[in-house]
Amino acid sequence: MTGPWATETVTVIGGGLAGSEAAWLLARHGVAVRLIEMRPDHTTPAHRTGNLGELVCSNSLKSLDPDSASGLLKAEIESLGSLVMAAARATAVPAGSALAVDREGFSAFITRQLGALPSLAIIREEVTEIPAEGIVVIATGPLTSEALAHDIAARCGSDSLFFYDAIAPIVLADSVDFSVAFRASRYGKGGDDYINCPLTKEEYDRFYDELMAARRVELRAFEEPKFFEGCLPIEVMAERGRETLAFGPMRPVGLTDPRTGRRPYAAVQLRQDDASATMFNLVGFQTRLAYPEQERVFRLIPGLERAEFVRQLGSRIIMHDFLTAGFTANTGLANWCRENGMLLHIHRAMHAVIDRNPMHGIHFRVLAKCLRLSGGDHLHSGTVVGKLEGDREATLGWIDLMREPYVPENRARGIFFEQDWGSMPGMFPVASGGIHVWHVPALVTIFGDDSILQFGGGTLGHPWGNAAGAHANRVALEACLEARNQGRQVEREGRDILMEAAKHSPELAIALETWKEVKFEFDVVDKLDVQRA
Amino acid sequence: MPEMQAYGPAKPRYETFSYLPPMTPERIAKQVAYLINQGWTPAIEHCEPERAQSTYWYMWKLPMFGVYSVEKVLAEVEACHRANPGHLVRLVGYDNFSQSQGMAFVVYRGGR
Repeated sequence: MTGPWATETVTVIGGGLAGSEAAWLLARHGVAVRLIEMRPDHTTPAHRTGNLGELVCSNSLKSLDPDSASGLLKAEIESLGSLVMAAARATAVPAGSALAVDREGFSAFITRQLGALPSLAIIREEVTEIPAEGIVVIATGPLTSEALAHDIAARCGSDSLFFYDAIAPIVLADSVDFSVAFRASRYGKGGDDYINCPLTKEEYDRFYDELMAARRVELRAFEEPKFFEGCLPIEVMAERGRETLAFGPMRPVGLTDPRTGRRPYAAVQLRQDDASATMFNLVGFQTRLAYPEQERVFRLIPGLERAEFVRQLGSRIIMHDFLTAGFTANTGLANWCRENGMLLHIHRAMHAVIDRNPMHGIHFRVLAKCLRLSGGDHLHSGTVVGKLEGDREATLGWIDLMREPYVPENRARGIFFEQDWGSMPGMFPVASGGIHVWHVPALVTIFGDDSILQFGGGTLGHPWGNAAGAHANRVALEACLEARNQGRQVEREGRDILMEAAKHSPELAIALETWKEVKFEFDVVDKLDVQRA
Repeated sequence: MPEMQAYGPAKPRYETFSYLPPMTPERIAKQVAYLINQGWTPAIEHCEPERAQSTYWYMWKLPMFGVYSVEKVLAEVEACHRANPGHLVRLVGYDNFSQSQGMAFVVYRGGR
């Protein structure tokens, strides 16, 4: 291909949609390109991965209809060999006449394609000022890091730049109430791709009033409330008039509510967010409402009353109390966690009501077995040594039931029935409740590997603060583990091990001093009655 | 207050045993012995300090399947350290029963 293509290296700063497309185009025409992207080491509050071309807000690239401006533009760039269009076609999800994508597949596609180009060097570092020499393309977008943003502002005049962040909520498909919501696309264009939640005038007015009154997230230092008219936060749109939303994202045109046979007063559309159709995003509902407010206000939309909002904070683990919530609810949640790659930590609130009376109830070891069957990755098991007492042998018995693939009968530990768990995964026992650094030797001996020790007060109560408390606990734990691995009797030599470690850790020394008098010496309530067992 | 410690980039931690002072060769040897006695397979990885937060480090040769000698393992750890000055060097024990790592800790903490 001939033409005035550059013979020197071009630097593209920013690996989002624009930067990726620019780098692709240049490299495909034989230009040497350096694409510089600061993620994943430096990231932004909106990004969650280090992928190039990551979509942080909507997963829709808007209309494909060539009669619309957006559709025409797409057709043009596609005919020019656009990488973004190729990625979108490969990872499209049903969205009527719009082009929407599975966001993870989309950015993975772009990242792979760019990574395979020999003339493209991808450099992961932050650029803090515009390079003085060479051909430079700045494509860092609204989430430019602060240093570069200042440099750009200095050169371009800072009253031309505004950064404002608002993201639309995402809902789990199977938490939508389909006795109210219905599937359809506007005017029947495309399949029944969208989920539509119809509102009557009363419901709309109530939603509007709550939206106007809801609390919003505070602006950050560099944010000013000057908006891009093409993407207004929904609460800002609402400020412009009571009917604005009903003519905007909540317009009911092209939709018929199957319950009434008529067009609803207003409607909220949900668009498929991922290829497996488990998640849907609220179309046009980018918002700066605080998260709890989002849940409260958006649950007023008919059909979303019990919706779960997947908060894209990248949380890895959730906690659930399986007894107060119930076994069936727990199993449903455990299945959801497995599908969604989330760890599930199970708390045993209410167990004492069930398992403490020797005359009736269900023993904790049975509750533990139920939980292993129901699903969960961690289960509170009692500490033996902490403030909430537990018989040592019985605890060791149910810890085995939690972790081991095969548990033989052992009456001394309260195991009345041998249990073969096959290949069923087990749980981590969680020791939590009044434990502190002096307990660590005993805890390491009792619980061993594959356990979790939770120090609440034992971390927060450190005189030097939480970080020091965590540090002290960690030093104590590592010292005991080292000693255990060396073959020492950790429980017996515990005091010496801790004092030795404290010589190298001022945090531990202070912790040992703080908690030295704190002992829990109660008689156990639920003793094993070995004679009558 | 003056005795209170401050935490920041000068004190990076790399998981197990990184909260204890660097181990002497004898103490390291005892950990290797524990690893082997548990029936785990030793393996060595290394990485530049700047990249140490990433999931994947460079493998040093292959995991030492069937190696039960503490001296051999220590020799390889030492060789990896000499070949990659300034890198963090991590010893891993693979547990083929649980299909996971039985233990892993950084032996050489990287030059600064």
